[in-house]
Amino acid sequence: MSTVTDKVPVFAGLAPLPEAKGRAGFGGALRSEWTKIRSVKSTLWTLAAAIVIGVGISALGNWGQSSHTTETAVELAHKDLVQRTMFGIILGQLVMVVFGALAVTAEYSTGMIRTSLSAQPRRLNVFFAKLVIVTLVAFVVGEIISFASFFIGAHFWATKGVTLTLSTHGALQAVIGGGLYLVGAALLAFGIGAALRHTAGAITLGVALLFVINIITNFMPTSWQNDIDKWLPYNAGSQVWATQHVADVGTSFSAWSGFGVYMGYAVIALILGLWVFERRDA
Amino acid sequence: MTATTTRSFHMDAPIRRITFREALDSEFAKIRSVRSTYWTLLICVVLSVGISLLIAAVTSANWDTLSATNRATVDMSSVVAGVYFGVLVVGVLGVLVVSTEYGTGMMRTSLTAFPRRSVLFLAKAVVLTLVVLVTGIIIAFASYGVASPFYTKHGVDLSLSHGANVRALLAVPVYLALVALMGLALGFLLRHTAAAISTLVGLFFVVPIITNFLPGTLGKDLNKIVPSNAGSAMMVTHAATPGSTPTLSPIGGFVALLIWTALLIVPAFWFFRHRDA
Amino acid sequence: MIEVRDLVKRYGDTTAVDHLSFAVEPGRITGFLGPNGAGKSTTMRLILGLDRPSSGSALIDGLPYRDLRDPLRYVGALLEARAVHGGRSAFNHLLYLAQTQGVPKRRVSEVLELVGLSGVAKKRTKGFSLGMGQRLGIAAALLGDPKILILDEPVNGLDPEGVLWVRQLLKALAGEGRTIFVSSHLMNEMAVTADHLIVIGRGKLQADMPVGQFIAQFSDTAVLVRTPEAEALRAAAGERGWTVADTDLDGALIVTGSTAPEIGELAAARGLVLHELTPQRASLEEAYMELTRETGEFAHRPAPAWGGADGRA
Repeated sequence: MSTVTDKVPVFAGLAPLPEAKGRAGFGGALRSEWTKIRSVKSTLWTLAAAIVIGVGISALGNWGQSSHTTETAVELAHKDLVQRTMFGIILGQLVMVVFGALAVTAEYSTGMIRTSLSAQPRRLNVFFAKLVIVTLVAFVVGEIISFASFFIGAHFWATKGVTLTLSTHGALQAVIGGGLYLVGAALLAFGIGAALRHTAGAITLGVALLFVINIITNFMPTSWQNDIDKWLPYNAGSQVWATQHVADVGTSFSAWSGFGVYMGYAVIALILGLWVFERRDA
Repeated sequence: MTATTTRSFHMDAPIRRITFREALDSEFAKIRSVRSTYWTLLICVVLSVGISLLIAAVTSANWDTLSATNRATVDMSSVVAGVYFGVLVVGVLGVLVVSTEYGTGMMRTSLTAFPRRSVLFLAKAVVLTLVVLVTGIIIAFASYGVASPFYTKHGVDLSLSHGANVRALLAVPVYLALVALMGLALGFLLRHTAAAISTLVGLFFVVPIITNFLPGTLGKDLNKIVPSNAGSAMMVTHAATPGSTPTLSPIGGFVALLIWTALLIVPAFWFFRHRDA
Repeated sequence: MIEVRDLVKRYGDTTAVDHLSFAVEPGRITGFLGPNGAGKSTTMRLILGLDRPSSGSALIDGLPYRDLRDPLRYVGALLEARAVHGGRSAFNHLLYLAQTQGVPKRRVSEVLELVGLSGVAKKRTKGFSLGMGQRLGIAAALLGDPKILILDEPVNGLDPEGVLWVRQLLKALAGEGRTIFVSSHLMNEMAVTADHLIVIGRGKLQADMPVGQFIAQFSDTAVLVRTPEAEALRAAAGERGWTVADTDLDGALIVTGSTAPEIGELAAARGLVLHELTPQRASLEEAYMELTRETGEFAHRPAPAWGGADGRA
């Protein structure tokens, strides 16, 4: 029994809570994951940087190309200018990898994962709530990047007599696809991050899969590239924001088959990450 | 009354400044005792050599399908092609050597032990360089050992009695060491793991894509001097083939890479000395 | 109530927790003691479902932690106060936890006020001192108005006022019928706070009993005696097999092996004058050191005397 002789202090101010209503639901988990993302300034800066850099590089590249090109409007119409307007996605995907990886690895590096998992011992809830929020945020940011890049780029190419609008053949699907591609990059990194639980490792691996692998296959002889090239994550995934599906070497997938392959890689990473997240000690 | 003895406590050693040698020992101990260093270097070696081997085997198997121009481009740089992956790993290692100290707050401990910051900086740089140089030499010669047979049987000249071939092989550890130092510099400048790695990756892999895209001679000139292309120029031994992207000469590549490294290291050093911990 | 039954956790070759069984009852403060490396933190993590036991079980009111609905409403835990994201404000850190359990937002402000952090609620936790971080951790534990509190070193880094505040808080909470499970190394604080003790060493249970009983059982009883006839007393005590030791407290003697009444009666029988006869109640610290001396894995060598007597003969 307590033997406090002084008057009971402080705690008097704390009204008791009503009875616990039910299990820590998925809705609560979603709200909590959203709070986690919006409450850290550096995350918001990262997403802003993705937009500025993604759109900025697109604008820069398209301005440069359009003002220096010697091709006529007729010749240009045969190129995939729609894809070119969204050129900044190549850099944007890097920032998305960082965003996706950090969504998971930051909890491990700060030790916060133990707090989060004590609050929600049903780990599937945490994983999927996080996944949903990351997907939504990546989608919004990705579409902003692809749409803004497209319109700015279209403006530059208009000065060369080429009109690009959303009703141009395949354009709408490609522009939406640009945002989807960026979501895929974030999800791939998310899965790797959950599997490795280490920031530097996850970013490095994500970068290796999206960039370095392309460089290395350049060394392969053409006949090999014919078979392998189209399966590389970037090559497959980038078909979804292209209007023409011509590969440098060999064949390429169509827009949605390529995207399917690309998302397949992301799903594999997510499954691995889920397994590690669920099973291993915090 | 129990007898108690009083002892006065005094240090016999005179207090003096930490020598550079001691700082070196400390940095070596730090890098050796972190298990992830071993894993990182091991992965780096295995993957770099493995990729070189893979490329060699596939190229050799498909030799008949290669055009004459293609065959002419096969040289020592193909033998060590796996280094393109190794570059990423040692760059990240350079970042981690610094950023993890900031992340764990250990930098404050280190600075208390070594208040002369230039000593700490130099010690880290020296240790990192030595470790990566050794790793690079292993990668270079192991790649040579496993990959060159696939090429020499098709008549590619890879003999080590040619100065150019030796230069290309030795360029590998030099390239890797300079990249590691660039990572180190970024670690000191940004002090945050994800940010520093992103910048490193952006500099190495994204900038060349952008310069490739830029039009005209400006684009081509910029493309030559970006770090990754400057570095790969150091390992090339064949003459430029018509229609290929222009690159710097091997010496030019080396100089360009040195300048890049200096551009990062100098501000990093200056900031480290003058900023709060 | 927390129930641990035959709990075992192995990491490779090491057995961190070795067939541990105990219960932590509501309405009182249970102290959890043990040397460093004894398995206290591991046990707490097993109770909270952060690690899987190799065998055995740890149950909260009959359920494993993972099966609890809204666990933060049942169990408030403070394991590592420093496990926060430095870039997030204190308020948002608690808010994200609150949202996982459907705890209303105003509750976050209430607990921050309770622990005295409302002034810095919107500041990033990166700049928090050790004490502030600790208080944030306590606030997080109280967020869900839990029946059970599991606290690992709660007063670490707090100033004396803070330490007193925690003690009063825990006593009030125990008085409300909650279950309080606290681990600490501060023996003196534990002595005045805890009602019941669970002591582990090398992963095994060493003691599970009320505080008073623990002290009595594991320490020598000693009696301080002042007498002008020290030699006579020494001889008489020696015949009975009691030990008499000198102190430097102005001629006082410490007699161990008997009780004050026995000494008094012996003195009376021999006609010896006594000026003082004071039973020395052993401290929890002494009892604990005695118990863990045999089992302590990480026992320290006694510190050399740097100067002066160490206070007690």
